Amino acid sequence: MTDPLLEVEDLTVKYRTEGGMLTAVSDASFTIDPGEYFGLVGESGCGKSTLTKSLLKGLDSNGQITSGTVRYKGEELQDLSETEINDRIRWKEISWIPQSSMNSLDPLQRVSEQALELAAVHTDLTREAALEKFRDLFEIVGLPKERVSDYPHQFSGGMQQRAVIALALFLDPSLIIADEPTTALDVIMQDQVFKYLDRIKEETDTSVLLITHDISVVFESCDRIAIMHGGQVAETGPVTDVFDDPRHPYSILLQEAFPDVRYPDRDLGVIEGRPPESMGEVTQCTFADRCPWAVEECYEHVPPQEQVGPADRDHTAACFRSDEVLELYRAETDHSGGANAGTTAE
Amino acid sequence: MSDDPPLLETRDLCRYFEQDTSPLDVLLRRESEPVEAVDGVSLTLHENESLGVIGESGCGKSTLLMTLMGLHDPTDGTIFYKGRDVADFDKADWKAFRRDVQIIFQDPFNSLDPKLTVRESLLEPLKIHGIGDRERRVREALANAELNPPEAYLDRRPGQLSGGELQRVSIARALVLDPDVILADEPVSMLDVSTQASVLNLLSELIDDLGVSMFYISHDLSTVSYVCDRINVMYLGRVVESAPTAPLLEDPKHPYTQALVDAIPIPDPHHGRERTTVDGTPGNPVGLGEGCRFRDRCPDRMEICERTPIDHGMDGDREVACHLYYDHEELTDAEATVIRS
Repeated sequence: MTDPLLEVEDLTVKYRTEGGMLTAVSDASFTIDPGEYFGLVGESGCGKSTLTKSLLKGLDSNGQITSGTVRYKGEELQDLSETEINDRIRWKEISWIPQSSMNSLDPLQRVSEQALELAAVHTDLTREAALEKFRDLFEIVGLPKERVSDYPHQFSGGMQQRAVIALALFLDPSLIIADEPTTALDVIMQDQVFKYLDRIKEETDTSVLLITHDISVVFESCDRIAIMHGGQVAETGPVTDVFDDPRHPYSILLQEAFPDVRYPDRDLGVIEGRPPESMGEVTQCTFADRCPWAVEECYEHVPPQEQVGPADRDHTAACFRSDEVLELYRAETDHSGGANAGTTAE
Repeated sequence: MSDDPPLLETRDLCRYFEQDTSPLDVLLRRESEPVEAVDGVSLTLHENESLGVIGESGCGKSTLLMTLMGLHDPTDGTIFYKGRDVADFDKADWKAFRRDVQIIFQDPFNSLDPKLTVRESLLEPLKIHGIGDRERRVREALANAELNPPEAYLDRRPGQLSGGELQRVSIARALVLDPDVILADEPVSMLDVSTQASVLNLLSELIDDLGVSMFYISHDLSTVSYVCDRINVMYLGRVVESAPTAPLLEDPKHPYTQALVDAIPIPDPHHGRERTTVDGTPGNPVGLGEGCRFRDRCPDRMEICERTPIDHGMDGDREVACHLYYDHEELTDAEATVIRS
């Protein structure tokens, strides 16, 4: 086995608020291997953005990592200073594709100037060589080479997003963090962007951490998935395992709530309630209040993330009843065929 | 079909917007061409039907909705409500129209007055239209929107409610006047998926149980398909295909509909969907003139596509505006050769 690229271990992130310390992420763990596309999924407020911001010290000033480690290529990042992160990690090792590319390009600078600035700070490439490299990247993301020196407003939303992807690839990072990269785009444009992300996967060893609320794009584009709820990682594993054999109630119910255009007549699952805001220490499963199968234990202890399924699959779930929830779910619904979790299409 | 006129009907509806002209344009006597946001749209909404309009941002679906509501005047074409041309409406007719046709907006966080309690928000339309028995109607509307028990919500303000609850209050506000038609503008796009499902289920139930008709616009085909009996696909101001939901999804005819359906992600890692082959973006509906508006991106482009296709009726109550599907008797074979790109 290769060494993992990124290891997040028991990470807890808290925000100082007027009402006290708010726990946004509690004891989250997952790993990303080199070349792997990893999807981090959850509803708004589940802590997925906070978690990823904390990886690169991008938290708001009232947020801090209170415990746990972030190891990148074996090195602990959480204690590095801002300058060290800037010099060695940001862009060169880990780059970032923000949610709204429309606001992340400087509107007054040609896109090529923004790439050249990166080159000047982080590399000793000549201007010519840097431009040539950027042109090649434009081609990879499906933009015409000659348009590298256009201004951002001359591109459509989808093209801007692809220009940002080209920038993110510019210094050959080992990991790209993409925060809802296609949420602002229409479906055809979204598919165009993923087409090029697929291509990057084939042609480079870059890993991608894809943060999204849309489980279907993760199932289509990622190797592995982590599902978060209320600051806790509910389940992680290969996408096929989490789809075929989900072990956390939230994973099961979230998949059932997702519309599938293949089955427009299917009843959509509903998850009652909403995730709690955890002030202070988290001492229970944050899904317990919404969970149809919660037992006393779920309110008294935090369920640990434990290995489920075959040992070599690295499939974990944080649920005291992970061995039986799928059975319980199936017993309650008479989904014998169709779109329920665990059935393979076609 | 009954003999009653359809509830809501548009015939060749157009809504153009003038573009800003700079002083230089005026000096040079340059005439700017209008934005053809809605260009010749004909739709029919029958009683108890739910009609969807889908399209990408900028396709004109929101303008269409605003024009239907009377917030924009049509540039051309007509809107019929229960068989009457709305252009002939007087003030009293409009008031009745605004009672019978209700709207649910996209953003539940900004479409309710933050200073009004739920009760006050729901009472207001009843007062305006002089309807009595208000307290009972308010409770009934809340119950119909599945805000149970209604008492628990009456005195709360929008800030104390979640997104899903807010959207249910919007739905209750639309229901309180017992409308014939509900116009829904992307009602679930701001909601999380666990909440989205329950609001979609609620909307489908309303259509079946309360007998309201719904006109539902969205960019998201996978949610529209849960609510609507029939779907119209819009591209750059025009309807390119109209068909009952299931056949449209299973066997889309227009190349644009095909591209849309094929680009929807499937929540199944075993499915192995191919990525889209369509390139580019829709552009702007300005000065497009004659011809099919999808032709520049269309994989099946032919020479004939320089001419505007007719709305061609097909089996199974479908219509498609594409040259692929009808005979062009006046054409020679050579002209009809497909130029594959």
